[in-house]
Amino acid sequence: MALLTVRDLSVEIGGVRVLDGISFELAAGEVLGLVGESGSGKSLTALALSRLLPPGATSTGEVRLEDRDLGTLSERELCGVRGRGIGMVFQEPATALNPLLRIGAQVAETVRAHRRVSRRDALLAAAGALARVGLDPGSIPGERFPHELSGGQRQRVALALATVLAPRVLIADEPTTALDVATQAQILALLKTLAATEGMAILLISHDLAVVGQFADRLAILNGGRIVETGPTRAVLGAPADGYTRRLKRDFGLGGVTLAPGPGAPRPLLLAQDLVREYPGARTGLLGRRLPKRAIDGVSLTLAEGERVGLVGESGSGKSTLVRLLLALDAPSAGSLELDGRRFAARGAAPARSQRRLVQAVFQDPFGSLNPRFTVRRIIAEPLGLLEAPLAPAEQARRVGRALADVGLGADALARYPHEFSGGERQRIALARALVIEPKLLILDEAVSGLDASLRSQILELLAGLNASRGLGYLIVSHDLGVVRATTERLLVMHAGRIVEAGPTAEVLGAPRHPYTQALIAATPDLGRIAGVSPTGA
Amino acid sequence: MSAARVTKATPPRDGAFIAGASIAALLLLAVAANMLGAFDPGLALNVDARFLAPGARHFLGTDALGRDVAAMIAAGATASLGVALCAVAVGLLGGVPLGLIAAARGGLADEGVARLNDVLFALPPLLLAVLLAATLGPGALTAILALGLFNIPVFARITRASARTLLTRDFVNAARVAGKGPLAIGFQHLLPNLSGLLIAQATIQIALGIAAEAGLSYVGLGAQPPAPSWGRMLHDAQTLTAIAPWLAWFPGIALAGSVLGLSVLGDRLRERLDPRARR
Repeated sequence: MALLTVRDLSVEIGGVRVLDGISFELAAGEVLGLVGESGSGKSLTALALSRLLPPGATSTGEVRLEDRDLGTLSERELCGVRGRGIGMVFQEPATALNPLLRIGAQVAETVRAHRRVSRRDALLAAAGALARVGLDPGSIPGERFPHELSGGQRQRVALALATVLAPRVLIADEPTTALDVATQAQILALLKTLAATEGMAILLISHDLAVVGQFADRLAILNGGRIVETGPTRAVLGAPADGYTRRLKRDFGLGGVTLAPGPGAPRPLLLAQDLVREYPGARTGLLGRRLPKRAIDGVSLTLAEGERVGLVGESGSGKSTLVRLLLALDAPSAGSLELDGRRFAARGAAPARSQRRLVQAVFQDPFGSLNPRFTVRRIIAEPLGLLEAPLAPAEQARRVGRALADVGLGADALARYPHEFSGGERQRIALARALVIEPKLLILDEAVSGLDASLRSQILELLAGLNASRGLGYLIVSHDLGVVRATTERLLVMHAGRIVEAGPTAEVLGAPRHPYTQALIAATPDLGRIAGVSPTGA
Repeated sequence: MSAARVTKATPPRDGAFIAGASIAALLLLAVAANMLGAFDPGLALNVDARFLAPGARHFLGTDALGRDVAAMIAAGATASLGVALCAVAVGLLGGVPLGLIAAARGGLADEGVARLNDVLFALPPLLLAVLLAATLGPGALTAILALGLFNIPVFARITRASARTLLTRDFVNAARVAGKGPLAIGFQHLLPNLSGLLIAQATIQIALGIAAEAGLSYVGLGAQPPAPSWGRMLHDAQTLTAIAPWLAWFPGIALAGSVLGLSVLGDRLRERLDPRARR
């Protein structure tokens, strides 16, 4: 019998129907994956289930936990249901915890809110819950404060909070999106174990088809507030019946990206030799010397004209520092950089405009990379200052217009300001700014990480197209192996400030030699490894 | 990904903001009228009409020399606001570049500016004004220099703090990749994004400047006679409180009202213009 039954759940906010007739069932021990893009109504579904909707939202339909209709309960009774009946975990572990409470006391507080037990018994129950989520009391005692834990450990505490009362249903809303790949794998495995051993029913909400595909027993695909397809994971991913699911799968696997054959006899464009970047580290003692900390420790690489290269590595591996060096935003402590046969980014010397023209960049944060006080026209025109002579206004307008058209935005965007655009549109404006000067190399620093699958796919298809038509080379820095697999021919793996592995992308991903690369690949959820599913085929 | 947020379309009506803005407008009006000579008749000496209590002809009364107190207060706004505005201009011109340099260069430059700020904050303004008056002679210029000097660290600090966060934003990186030099980045990317904060802080500093100017002219280091000033009006009224208490009341009310109004206006402007202070 189903633990949680949702029938015809609809939510309206300000007269707009944002959830439209959602129905599903969740059985004990089952993991149901709810997948959708931004704005599809995923999080709203989670909130509607436990009746935590924002003010101004009204819901209709039936939500049944075992034999109780949650719609008929009073707020007081609902408080009992939340926590004991339904537990919830959210995306950002840092904000889910009270920074002033020790983690053990924090979990115990939840116990005492629901059960009349002594402080001692509550702390005991808390210790048990923390141990169950893998926080061993020997190494991570309950006396720790949240800030003393890593992001993954904090998410475990949030999970302990949600599960300490042994709820029958656990709702996990993007529980691993803020975590790195290795931690993500551990948390997902933990969820799976909880479902199996405690008989908990889990609703796993995510935008990441691979994460959900690997861990959910059944899938429900959400689009525009409706469930467009539901069924066993393999069936849904193996042979999607709905058009939207097919497109989502194709976009997610980047099936639309086709790489043109590489350049025949590539001419080296950017040459880095033995780059070192040191930062002053902590003092060894009161009067001790500052030991320099090496963020980049002897990196050499060559990027050829028109070449498509990927750079992967965990956070803190030195990827971003390397990108800053390659863009001459920072000068190396030692080593040399050559661009187009001439030295580049030497200490104390500004790079020549003729060199700057060759390399442009798109950064990670679409909200921070556009000056909020500039119009889109002015933003895109900015790099045109790199030309030797200023352009005639008509010619400038033509080039700005073409760059905007290249990224698929209309000319009506020109007079508007960044805040009027969505994250994906902003990232396209940033891309137009990088393209307007027609560089030979484009560096994308995690530039597609935060985007929905469909947008990511569009931007990467556009890049592959520019590579084929204009010979634009690119360096994609990403933690997403799916992205580099689809868009690059050569792959560099960075770990602790060094490039530990380099080679053709297919070879590195197919037969990784360095232990770090092996661990990275093992931890990454991958559509291709879900049995019976071909990663790109529609 | 996130639930739709319901936001209010119209900002709530803000009485304090409106009051502060009205006081600022009134001050500017008084300065403009004074420049056109509107108060000159009231400022003329008329010993026959001295110590008149507030009434129909002189609605705030007259002083020991028969001058109209209402006209003196209106004309005194010129000295107060003039000195405060010039002092803020000195602070902006000195502090903003220092703050930008400290934020952009870091290291020794940052350290140097920080120490300079500490030294200026540690000096008592009144003593410095006495020192300047001894060398330059008392007057409006002395007051402007003394107050302006103390505005420099205020603007240097907020400029440095905000510029440092702006400098980490990717649009600054993008501008550098687009070949923009430090000056262009400072003028095109940093200053426009700092302007709201600076305007708000400037309003608060003007309020503080008005109060400080009154203090200086009270001890005779500000505007010199016959130019009317609130501080000196208070000073002159001090010995006459038994005969003509209104001589102290009205300049006091004008001073307190202006300082309070402009402070409130500055606070509200900061809340409205600084996105980080918004809820």
